[in-house]
Amino acid sequence: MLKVILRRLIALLISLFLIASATFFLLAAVPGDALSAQTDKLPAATRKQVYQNTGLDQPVLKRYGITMTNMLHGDFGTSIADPGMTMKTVIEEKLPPSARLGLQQILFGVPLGLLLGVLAAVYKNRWVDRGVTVVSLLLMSVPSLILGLLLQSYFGGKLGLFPIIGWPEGSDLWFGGWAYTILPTLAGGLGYIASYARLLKNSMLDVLSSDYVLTARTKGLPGWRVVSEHVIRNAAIPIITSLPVTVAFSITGSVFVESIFVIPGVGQYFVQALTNRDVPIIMGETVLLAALYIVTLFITDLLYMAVDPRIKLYQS
Amino acid sequence: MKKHLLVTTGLTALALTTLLAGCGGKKASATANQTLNLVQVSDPTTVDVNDVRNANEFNILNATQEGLFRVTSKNGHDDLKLAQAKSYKVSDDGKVYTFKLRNSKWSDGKDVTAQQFVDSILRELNPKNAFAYASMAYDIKGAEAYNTKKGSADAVGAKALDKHTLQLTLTNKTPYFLKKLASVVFYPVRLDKINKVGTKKWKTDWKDQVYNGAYTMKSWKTNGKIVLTKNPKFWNAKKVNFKTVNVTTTEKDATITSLLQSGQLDAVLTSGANAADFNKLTANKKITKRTQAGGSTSFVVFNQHTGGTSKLLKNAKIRQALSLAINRSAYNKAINGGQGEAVYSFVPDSIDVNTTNYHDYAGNLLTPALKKFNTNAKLQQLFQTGLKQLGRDTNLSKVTLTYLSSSNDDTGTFLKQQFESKLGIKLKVKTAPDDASFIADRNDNQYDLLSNGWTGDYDDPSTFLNLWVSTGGFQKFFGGYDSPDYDKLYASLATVSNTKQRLKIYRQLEQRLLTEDYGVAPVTGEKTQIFTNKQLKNFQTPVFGPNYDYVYASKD
Repeated sequence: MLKVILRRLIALLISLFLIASATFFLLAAVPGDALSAQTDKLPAATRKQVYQNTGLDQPVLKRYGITMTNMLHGDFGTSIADPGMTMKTVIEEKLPPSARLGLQQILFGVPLGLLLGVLAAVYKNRWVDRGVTVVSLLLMSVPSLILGLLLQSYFGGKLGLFPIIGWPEGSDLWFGGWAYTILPTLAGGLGYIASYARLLKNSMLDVLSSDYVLTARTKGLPGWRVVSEHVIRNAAIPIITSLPVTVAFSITGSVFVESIFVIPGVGQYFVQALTNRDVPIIMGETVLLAALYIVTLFITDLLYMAVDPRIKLYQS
Repeated sequence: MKKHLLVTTGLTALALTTLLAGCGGKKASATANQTLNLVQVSDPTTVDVNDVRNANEFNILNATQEGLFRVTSKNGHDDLKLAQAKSYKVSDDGKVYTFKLRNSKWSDGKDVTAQQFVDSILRELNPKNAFAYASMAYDIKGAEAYNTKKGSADAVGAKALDKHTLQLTLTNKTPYFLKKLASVVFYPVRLDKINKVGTKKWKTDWKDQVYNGAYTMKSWKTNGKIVLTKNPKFWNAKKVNFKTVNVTTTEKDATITSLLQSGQLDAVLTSGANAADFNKLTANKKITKRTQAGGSTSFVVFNQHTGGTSKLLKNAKIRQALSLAINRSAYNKAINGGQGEAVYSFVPDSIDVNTTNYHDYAGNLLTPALKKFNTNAKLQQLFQTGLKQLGRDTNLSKVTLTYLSSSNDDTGTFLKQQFESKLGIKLKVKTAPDDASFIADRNDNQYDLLSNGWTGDYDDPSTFLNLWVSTGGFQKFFGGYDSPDYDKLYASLATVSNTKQRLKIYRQLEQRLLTEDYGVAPVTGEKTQIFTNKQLKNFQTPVFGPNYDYVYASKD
C-alpha cells in the first residue's frame, strides 16, 4: 500500500511539472500579457519602464526558469494585475468563503438528492418518481446564474427576506452570518439535488433489475432490507466516482454564484486572473486545481476498494 | 383608537426589524443614516495617489485623501473649493502659484506639509516610476524634461517655501491649471511610509496607508467590498456625517437593481443602457433621479496613418462622406439604448472656460454640413469625388472598408448598415478576440475604421483638443490626424489667457478638426443618470475626477 502511495506521489509531481510547463508556454504563446492593455496608450519610454519594473521584459525562457525555480520553493510570485496578492494570500483570504459556500451547497444538495433518488427508484413510475424527474430536469436546465438572479430579486429584492449581497467575515467566516449564505447555497445546491437524484435513481434501477436482488426478494427479505443491504451499496459506485470530484471543485469556487452575490471567493478571482493574463496567479491556480484533482482521483480509488473489495489498486 | 393601532403596528414593525436585523448580522437600524452604501463596477487597481488610472480609484481616494482643492458640482458643472489649501495667490504674469496650507494632520497624527505636495509631484514625474498620469504635471516648469529624462528633479518648479507654503512655477500661462491641480495625482504623499514598503507594494497595500482625507480604509476585499470609516483626524471632521461607507464591487445590473429596490444602496451613477432598468424604479417613491452631461465622447476613428487597409482614408472628402453618413441619434438608440446623447461636436456639453459654457459658445459644429449633405445621393457624390481625387474607380459597390472591432463592441454592425444603405459601399467587420489582438491589429494599421472614446481629465476644452496635436502622443491611437495648422493654432494658446480669445481659438481648432479635415467623427456623448435614495443630501457628482463626492453628504 505504501508503495502505491509513493508511486502515486511521484506521478503527481511529474504531472504537476508538465501541467505547469504547458500552462506557462501556452500563456507565453498567446499575444499580449498582463500589461498590454493598461500600458497601451502610455509613451514608449514609460511603457518600457513599466515592463522593466515587473520583470515582464525578460525573454520567455529566462522567465520560465525563474518561475519554475520559485515554484519549487512554493513561491508562485506576486500578481501583476493586483500587486501585493500572492497565491498564499489568495488561499488565505479567498479560499475560505468559496470552501464554505461549496460545502454548504453539497451538504444541502447531495443528501436531499440521494434521498429523492432512492424514493424515485423505489416508487418507479409512480407520482413520486414523476415529480422527482420533472423537478430535477427543471433544476438541471436552469443555470445557477439565472437561478441565483431569480432568488436574489425575489427573496432579497421584492420580499426583502435575505441580504441581497455579501458574505460573513471575521469571526462569522466559517460559522455564523447564516442569512447571507442561504440564497447562494440554494442557487448552487439545487443543482446538486437534481443531478444526484438522477444519478442514484438510474444506477439503482440497474441494480434493482439484477439477479441477486431477485434472489434476495425470493428469499423473502422485506423490501427496505433489500434496498438498504443489497441495492444501495452496489448502486453507490457511480456516486463514489462523482462525489469527491464534486467536493473538490465546489470548494474551489463558483464564478457565477460568487459574482451575483458578491462573495469574495476564489472562483471569480481566478477567472479575472485569466482575463488579465496574470501569469503568477494563473500558474498557481492551475497547479492547485491539478493537484486537487489528482489527489481526489486517488481518494476515489481508495473509496472504490472500501465499497467493493474486488477492486484492486495494484496487481499483487 | 387610531393612536392605539398606530402603536401596535409600530411595535410589530419594530419587532420585525429586530428580527430581520438579527437575521442579517449585527447591523443596528439606528446607525442606518450614518452609513452610506455604494457600489463600484470593479475594484480599484491601486490606492497609490500617483499611480491612479480610472474613476474607481478617484472615487475611493477622493474620500480617503485630500488635495489642495476639492471639486464640487453646481447644476452639472464643476467648481473648485479650497481644501488642504487655505488660500492661494497667482503672480501677475500668471505663472507663479503660491498656496498657503491649513493646519492639517494625517491619520497617524503627523502634520501635512508643503514638502509632501512637492514630494508627490516629483514622485509622479520620476521616470523610474513610470506613472501613467505624469503628463498631468507637464504645465509645471521643468516637469516634462525630468519625466522624459532630459532634466533633473531639482529643476522642477515645485518648491516648499516653508512648512505651510507651496510654490509652483509654470512654463506658460495656464488658466485652467487649478482645475488640473484638483486631480488625485497631485494629492500629498508620505515618502517616509512609501520608502518603508517600496513603491510596488504601496500600490495596493492599504493596511500600511495613512490618510489625510475624511475617511480611512477599514477593510478591502477584492470582488467583495471596501469599508471606510470616518477619520477623526481630518481637519473638517465635524462636518463629515457618515461614520461608515460600504462600497461593494458588482457589475451585475440585476443585482444593483435589487439593491436599489430594497433600499440597500444609496446611490448609483450610470451612463449606459442599464439606466433603463433603474429608471423603472423611480416609480418607487424612495428613489430620485437626476441627469447631467458627462465628460466623455465616443467617436469613429479614421485611419490616416496609412489610409487604412483600403488606402482611402487619407482623403478628406471620403472621411467627410463617412462622418456625415452616420445618423447619430440612431447610433445612440442602437448602441447606447437611447441613454446617451447624439453629438455634433467633439468637446462635451459639460465643459466650461472660466464661467462660459464652451458648447453654448461653439454650437453644434457638424450640423450645417449634415444639413447640406442630407440625401444619400449627395453623400455618394462626396465619396466619389474623393475616389476621383485619388484616381480610383468610382464604382461604390466595389469599395470595401474594414472596421476593427473589439470583442464587446456592437458598433460595427450598426455602421455596416449605415454605410451600406447610404453610401452603397461594403463594410467588413473584423472582430479582435481580446484586447491584446485588438492593440496588435491597430498598431499594425489593419483597419480603416474603429471606435474609441475619450474621457476628459479636467474641465477645459484642452483636455479634448490636445489629443489631436501631432506631437501629443495620443493622436496615433486615434487614427493619426496630423495637421501643421492645427498644431500651430494649438501652440498659440500658450500665450493667451483671455477667456474670449481662448474660446475663439478652441472653436477654430474644433472646426478645423471636425468640419474641414474631418479628422474624426464624434458620434455620442455621455449623459450621466444619477439615482439616489431620496434621503441623501449634498451628494456631489463632479464631471471630472471622481464620479461622486460624499464627504459632506448626509441622510435625513
